[in-house]
Amino acid sequence: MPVNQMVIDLRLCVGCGTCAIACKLGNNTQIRDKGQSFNWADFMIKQPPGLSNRWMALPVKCNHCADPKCVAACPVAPITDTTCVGDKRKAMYKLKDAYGGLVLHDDARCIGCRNCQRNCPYSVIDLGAYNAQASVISFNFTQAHNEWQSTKELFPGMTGSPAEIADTVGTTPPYRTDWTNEGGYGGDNIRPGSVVEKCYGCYHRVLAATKRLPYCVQACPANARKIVSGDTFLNDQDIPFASVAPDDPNVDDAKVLSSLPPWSELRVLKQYSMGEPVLVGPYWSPTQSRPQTFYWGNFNP
Amino acid sequence: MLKITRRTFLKASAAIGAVAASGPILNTLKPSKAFAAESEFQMRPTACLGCTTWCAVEAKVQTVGNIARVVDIVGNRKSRSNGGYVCPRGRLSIQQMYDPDRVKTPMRRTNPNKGRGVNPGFIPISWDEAVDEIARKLIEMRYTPEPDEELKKHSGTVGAGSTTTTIVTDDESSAADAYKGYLVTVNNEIRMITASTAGSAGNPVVLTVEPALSAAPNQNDPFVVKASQSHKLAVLRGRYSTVNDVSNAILYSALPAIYGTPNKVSHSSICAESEKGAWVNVIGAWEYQDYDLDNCQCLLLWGSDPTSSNRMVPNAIRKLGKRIKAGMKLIVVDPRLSPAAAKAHIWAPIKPGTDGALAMAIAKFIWENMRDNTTLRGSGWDFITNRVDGDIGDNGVGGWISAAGLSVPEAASITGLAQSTIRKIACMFAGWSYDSDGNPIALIRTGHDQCKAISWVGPGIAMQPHGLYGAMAAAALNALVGSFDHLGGVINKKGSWTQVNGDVRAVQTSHKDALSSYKGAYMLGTNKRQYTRIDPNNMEKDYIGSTDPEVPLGLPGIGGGSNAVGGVNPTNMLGDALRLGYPYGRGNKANNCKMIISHFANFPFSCTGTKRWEDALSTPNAPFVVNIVTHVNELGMFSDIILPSDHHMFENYLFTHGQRADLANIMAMMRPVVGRLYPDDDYGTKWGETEFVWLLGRKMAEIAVGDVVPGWPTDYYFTKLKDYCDSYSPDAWNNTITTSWAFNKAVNAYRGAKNDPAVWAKLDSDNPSNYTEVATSIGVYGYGFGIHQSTVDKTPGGLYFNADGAGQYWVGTSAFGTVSGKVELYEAKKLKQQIEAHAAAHQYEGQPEKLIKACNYPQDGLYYMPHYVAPSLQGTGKRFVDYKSRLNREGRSANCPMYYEFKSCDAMDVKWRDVVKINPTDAAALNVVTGDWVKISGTYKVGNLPNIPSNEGGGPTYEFSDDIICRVVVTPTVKVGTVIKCYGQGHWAYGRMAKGRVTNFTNGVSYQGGNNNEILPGDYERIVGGNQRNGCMQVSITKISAPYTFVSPKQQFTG
Repeated sequence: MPVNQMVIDLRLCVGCGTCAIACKLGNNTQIRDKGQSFNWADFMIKQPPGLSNRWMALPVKCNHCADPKCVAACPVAPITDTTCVGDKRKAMYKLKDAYGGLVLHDDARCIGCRNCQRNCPYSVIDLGAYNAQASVISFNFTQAHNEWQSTKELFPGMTGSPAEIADTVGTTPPYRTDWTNEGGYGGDNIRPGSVVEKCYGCYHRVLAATKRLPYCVQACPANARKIVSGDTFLNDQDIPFASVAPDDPNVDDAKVLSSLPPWSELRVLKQYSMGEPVLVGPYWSPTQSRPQTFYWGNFNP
Repeated sequence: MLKITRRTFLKASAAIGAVAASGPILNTLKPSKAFAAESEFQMRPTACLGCTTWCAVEAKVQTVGNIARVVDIVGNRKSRSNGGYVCPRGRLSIQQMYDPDRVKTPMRRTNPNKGRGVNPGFIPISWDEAVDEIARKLIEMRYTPEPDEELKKHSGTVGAGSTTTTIVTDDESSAADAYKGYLVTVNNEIRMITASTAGSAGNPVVLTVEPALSAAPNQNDPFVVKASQSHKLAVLRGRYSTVNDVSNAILYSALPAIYGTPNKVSHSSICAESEKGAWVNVIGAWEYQDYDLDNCQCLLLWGSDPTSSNRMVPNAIRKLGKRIKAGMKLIVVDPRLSPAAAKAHIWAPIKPGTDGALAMAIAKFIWENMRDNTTLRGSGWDFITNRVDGDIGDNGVGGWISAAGLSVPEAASITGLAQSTIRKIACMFAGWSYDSDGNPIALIRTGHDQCKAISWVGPGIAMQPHGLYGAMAAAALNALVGSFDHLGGVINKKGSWTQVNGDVRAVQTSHKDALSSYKGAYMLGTNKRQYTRIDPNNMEKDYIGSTDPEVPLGLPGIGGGSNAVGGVNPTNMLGDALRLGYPYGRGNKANNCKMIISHFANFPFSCTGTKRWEDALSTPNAPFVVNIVTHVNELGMFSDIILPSDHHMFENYLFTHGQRADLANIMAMMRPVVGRLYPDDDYGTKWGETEFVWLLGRKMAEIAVGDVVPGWPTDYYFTKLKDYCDSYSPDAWNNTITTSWAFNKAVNAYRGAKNDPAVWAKLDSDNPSNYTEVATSIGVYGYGFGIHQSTVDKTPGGLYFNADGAGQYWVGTSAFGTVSGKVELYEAKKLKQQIEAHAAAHQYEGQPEKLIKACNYPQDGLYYMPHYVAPSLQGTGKRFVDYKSRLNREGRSANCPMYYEFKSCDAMDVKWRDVVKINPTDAAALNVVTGDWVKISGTYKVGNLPNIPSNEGGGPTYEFSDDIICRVVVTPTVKVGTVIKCYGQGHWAYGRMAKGRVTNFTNGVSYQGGNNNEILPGDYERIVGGNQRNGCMQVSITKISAPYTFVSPKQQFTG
């Protein structure tokens, strides 16, 4: 069966960060705190070992691994669920390919042990402690966005406070993108405290009745992110982005996505250097334990 | 007062609480295949003014109850200029909109002391109180005679009239209306001179004054004529909003004209003008150029990364990688490995300020190889022979090269680049294959493909004290391959602007006509001093005054203006004028500029040499500042009254036009896609910079002049501003002022018709197909709501790249805007005219050399052609290079959380930090490593040039020194000898996130890095008048111990 992939073509990526901002807005992830970035989509600046005058931007997000370490590490007692791999559904679980193949997380069943975060090859439990640029999994020490409860006014009576803006608009955060998950996969669009969180592959868009592209894919101004079949990618044919409609209430793009095979992800990246592009093969090594980074020193907030 | 919707808040809190309470419990939720989509949303078109591209965007809006909120921004799907995508700036606007530190009510200063770090002691006041205070201040200045200077003093014959009084003077020499606009004092009564006759022998000047004097004075009563003080108002523009005339027709154009001040101070010299100066002197176009990336086969970027900033950023991001995959060659000349450079085939880390040498070597290399080897000629040669002024010999390209060309070895020695690199760049640009040493082998971009190369002149090489001629050289390279107005080249020609322009022009004309009828209030007359701008762009002897020891800097600022006058008024000139008390005060600061009305400008942060602004705006003798803005910015800390402004991208109507991207002209319309954040005030709504003028006009018409200024009747009112607004409002003045006026006006301008409710109904229906229909119906063809003129047809043989027998490039009717109509390389004729005229009109005795010297250029005799001029350096130490963040929304970002969270998108920058990049070689010498704190110190001179007599524009200089602190990243991605820092942080006001974690928000310290402008000199490229930023400043770096302990971003946000 052909594998459905998100492919990020680094020849097109210029490292602008639009994917990360679009994800953070769309998925309502909170402000950085206590070594957690809450960036489901993020990016790193990758350089060859040592000091080098080359760099490339390397997008970072959950790879929805075929054999996810996070799921293996999850201690929550599984319930039987035939849509999940092994028919078992822990707090962290992987759907069968037939059901989309995503690695999802159930906020309501998470016990906050962070074993998934410790065992994910692409995550750290504290960005500062590990000098990491990015982490796929983050942990909510508190209710997300509780900073919006602050009533601090810089110029009292003349400028606003977070709480006042949230009051006025009626949501927290005031630019909250409201989406729901009726099926019980994942959780609310705002995370409670004491749970981990990570990229859900925008399941509420990709697998919804009205299918839409993930925020990061839709937003990429370089069209570097695509949802394509593996065969298509290996032939290096561009899927015309225009064939997949972006947000438009009048366009149902179900036809486009439903014609594609189930979701999984293989990240094949091409390194771009001075001169011609070089195919360097799968970038992420299964044995790689931590994101590569960090020629800059102790910097993290 | 704001209505707190407490119920809504509690409801939201409860919902959140319920989720939290359910927390980590095992449950038996059953999986389902039914996934829910997002809640309902609408896509509402508006426009992003985050950079000068002015993108068409759509706001994704969700609604709870009656409250709509913006949750996402995407590019307008019908926009050709961005293809439906925005760069990271677009989405950051959402956090600006919902920033907790937005101003929600007018604020008034209570502390009379002003200075950085001084608590203004703001208190909330009502709109009525605020406008009343502003109106009285304006009336006082408008109707109080100038205290220091007495312009004319005569005795004469005075007669009475009913509404006016005539006064017969004993002046028999002045021309008609020589006294118009001045104030006359007779028997302690002050009146306005509305007209004066011409005088001749035996036939003295007769003045008409209004209102009538209270009693017919006795004959031969002495009377005194003085200027009013209306010219002591300066209006600052930060944000463009075209209505139908020059930008900001109401606040920026009408108000100053009607009130009577020439002082409209804009910001374009801060960034744009130097770049435009390069183009105007080569192809006669004073504007940004457009570029056809879709067909480009070689892109040569000079000091610019269009995937980051300046300009058409989404278009560049969309095209760059795609074009490289398709075979386009990319060359980046930049001392830093920018995002574009990281993808380049050749990165040329050039020594700052030497770009002109590289360009002149490329030019000479291409020219000589083509001249001597016919097999290396493609259609570029046709362009050289047909479209460049002069023959190809002595007075054409050949003459230019022999006068100004540099050999490759010469350029290598100047630029620090390898000779082979320079040759390879030239070959790649010209479309030649080359050997390992960079020597050309054969033409590989044959025929018209040779023309598909772009030499993209960015601000980096132009914004230098000697930036003009080098930038001209880089622009001139396009002529050598024939890329001007060629498919895949530099596009100067616009799309079908003409049809719409006709409508716009008609409205502009009527607007100007209408405006001129209100200029009875305008300061007219003959005394030059009264009508010279406070920020003069030239050095006029009679303005300066030969005995004054210290004068504001003057410079030609020729720009796109007329020959002798000049077109650019450098923004910093106002700062210098204020701090020195010139020109009106002649050194007496208390009697200089007295009042500033600013909208969305933040010059104490955004202008180079910020200290001059801090000095100018601080006690003593600081002007009264009215600041219309969304946040208490740096200027806000010096302000007397702050008025809250809308975020026009979401809350109000605004309209701009004139930018281009991807060969489409852009008209940007912003509109209220959601309600105002703070909707309630004493007028029942909230006001921005446009509506403010109506409030002001109404208020000024209600306050009797005599109640403010003794000597005037108590039934005499300044009504002209109100009259004007009435005449231009689609509604009667007493009706509710429609906030959509400006927008309606804009649409009407394009439709040539009255507002059509049906149009608005369609626009409000959120059906995108309507936008196209509406846009088409108002004459804006295609591509959705409010955006895009008809576009240039990129098809070879199509509308614009017509195959006319001579080729695909623009020929025949399409002359360039130069004097010759061709590309001018050997002699920029307009520049020559301007310099000669300027030298003749001012204190240079008609000698261009003297003017050139006063402009800080060497007298090398090559004043009218592109050539290399060695950089003019300031200070000592490492060369400081400034560049722009991908996340800066122009110079006024509120630096909201996501700005910091994704700061690493400015390659080698670090999230939540402000850093300076230093090469390992330099870092070792400085004994700093990545993560260290440093102080960057600059000492620089501002003012006039040394060793030039004051009557030639010289005189004393004054020296500033300042320093900023930040942290270090050691990286070989910056050239040895340079220190490179991104602009955008270092706010010491502008809200809790911008300023950083502090407890006292008025202490004037930045806790979030350093503002480059504090150490940049604030000098100019003096011929054009644009600010310098690059290639010239040298700074010292000192390692310091960590001055701050940062708290987490979340703590910073909660205050």
